[in-house]
Amino acid sequence: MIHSISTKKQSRSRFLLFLFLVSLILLILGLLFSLKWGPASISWAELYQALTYQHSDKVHLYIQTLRLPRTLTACMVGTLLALAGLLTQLTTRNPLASPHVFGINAGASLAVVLGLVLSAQLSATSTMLMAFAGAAAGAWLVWSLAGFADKQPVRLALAGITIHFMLSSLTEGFIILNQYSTESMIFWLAGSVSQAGWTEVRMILPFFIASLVLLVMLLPALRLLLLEDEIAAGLGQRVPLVRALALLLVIVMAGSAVAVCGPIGFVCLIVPHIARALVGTRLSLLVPMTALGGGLLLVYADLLSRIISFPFESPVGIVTSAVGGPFFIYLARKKRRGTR
Amino acid sequence: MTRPFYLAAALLLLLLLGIVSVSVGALPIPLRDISSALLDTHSRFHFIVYEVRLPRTLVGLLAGMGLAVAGAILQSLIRNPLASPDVIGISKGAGFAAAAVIFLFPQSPAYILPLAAFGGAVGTFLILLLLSRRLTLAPAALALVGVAMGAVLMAATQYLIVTHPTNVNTALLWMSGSLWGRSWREVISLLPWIIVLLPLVWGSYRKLNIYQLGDETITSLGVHMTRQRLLLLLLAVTLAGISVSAVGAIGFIGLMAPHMARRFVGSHNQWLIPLAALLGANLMLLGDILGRMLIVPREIPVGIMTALVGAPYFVYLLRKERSRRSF
Repeated sequence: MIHSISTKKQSRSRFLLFLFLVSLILLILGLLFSLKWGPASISWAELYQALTYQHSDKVHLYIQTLRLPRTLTACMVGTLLALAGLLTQLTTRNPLASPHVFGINAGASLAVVLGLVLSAQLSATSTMLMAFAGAAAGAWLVWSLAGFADKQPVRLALAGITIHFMLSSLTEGFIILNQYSTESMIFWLAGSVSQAGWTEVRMILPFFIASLVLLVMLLPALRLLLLEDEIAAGLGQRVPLVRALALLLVIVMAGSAVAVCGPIGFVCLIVPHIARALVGTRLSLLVPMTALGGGLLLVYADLLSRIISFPFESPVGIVTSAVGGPFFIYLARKKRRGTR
Repeated sequence: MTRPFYLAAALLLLLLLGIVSVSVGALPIPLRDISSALLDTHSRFHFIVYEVRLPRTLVGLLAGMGLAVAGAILQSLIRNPLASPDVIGISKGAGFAAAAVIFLFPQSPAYILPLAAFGGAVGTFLILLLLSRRLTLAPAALALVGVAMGAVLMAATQYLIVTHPTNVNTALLWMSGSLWGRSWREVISLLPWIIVLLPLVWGSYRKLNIYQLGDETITSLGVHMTRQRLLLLLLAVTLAGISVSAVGAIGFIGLMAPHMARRFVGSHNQWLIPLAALLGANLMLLGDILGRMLIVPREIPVGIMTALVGAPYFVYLLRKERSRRSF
């Protein structure tokens, strides 16, 4: 008996090791392909040269100034979005929750578009600040309307979607009134990493690192959030404080991602679910798996978005919505017994 | 205050807004000239009033009614105050079909566009039926499936927009909804549907009232739940589809008008449906009038005005609702 349990444990840990290794390898492969694949064909040898030494070849310039920052941004934004989704689901105990469903993304994009309409030249920092303010406002709206109604996840999700519609129709309105910058704005609104250069990488990197560090620091407290509120409080947890901190983190993560790449949909919803299905609910496994999965999904979605209507680019958000929508339908159908 | 009083007041307001809607615009027409402009073909305002303002006003009125009643049906059936044609993806389906026509077949004749939009709405509804196992899903889950379909359709529309950047403004205008340039043709295509369908919906108010109870209660009352729901949903989809096909995917009217009506007359559908229809028409005209008046030579599309006016009101409403009972 004891023997069989220990072998089970052993095979489980072997499975986990295998899983992490495979996803890491897939991520690295995705990064490499993302660097190699594009309108200008580049051989592996050239790629290697471009990455290893500075050289003023045209091809090297492509990789160093266009594809490398873009790939890095995709990876970071995917990680941020996925982790933000996981945090939202943890703090609201709602499997349908995510920054996208909850108006955070729409709020941030409304604020950024508003900023662009009001002043044509918006600096990187003020774009960031606008996005944070918008994300916070969107979150505040939804949460003040629906609260932490963890017994009614579907209703909360519906309230969030309604706010999302409201904010995005306002965004559409501002775009129509401001005819001059329509095209690029629409591209940004669908969610795209194609414009990302080193400026964007520099913009998002501090937030990326800071929120990862904060998340790791918050991890033990979050673990207690998995329990009932009363039990957590009884164990000496300051539940409201932890929740507020987690939400702040969500706003920073989702806000900075939206400020750089626009509201890329559904990454934040799908990835935590897949990660949970793979490694279970232990946070010390779930968090790294979600982070990896987010980067993985967005890097491959970005690759796909370059292929759909080659040689033209499509926004990566279209790919993630096309994948995520059906997944959302699957979730809603699966949850049907718990809804009423 | 009694319920007939509210109906009369809404009707009076509608009449007033109708007159204002005919009179304001880039060329203001004095109120006293309107009747002569309408009747006397030699009046200098005759052309503007008869060919431009009047059909525009009528289209707004009819489409507002259609959207509002569709919203009222959906809210009763899905038993959720947040349900509306926008939320369950029908408007998005119509929008996608219209965008496909605008971008992929720019040479096609003008009457194709509303047909395509209607087809898109019905098609979306059919897929929704398939995905929700012929509506045996719990109502709220049904709405969520609709939301997800809306997201996928939105992505497809965005793909079309991004790959065909030349017609972006037409498509955007259409997708947010506008009454600009509507003529008698749209009036004629809307009017018969509204005349036939609204009494039909009103006639089934008893069933709608029953649907506000829980599923178990309905079954125990002996109502064939799924088939009736299918019929009523089909009515809602048709109303929303023809309205969207005439004016574009105007949001929030289908959501707001039934809410406002419910605050005045309660949730009995025999009162709710007519008042919602009147309020929907009022909202549409109000949004259109404001959109024409704010930046004078230019127009703000009515869909944006309804979002601007409707959104804050809606938030206020939801907060109130929440403080009364947790929804």
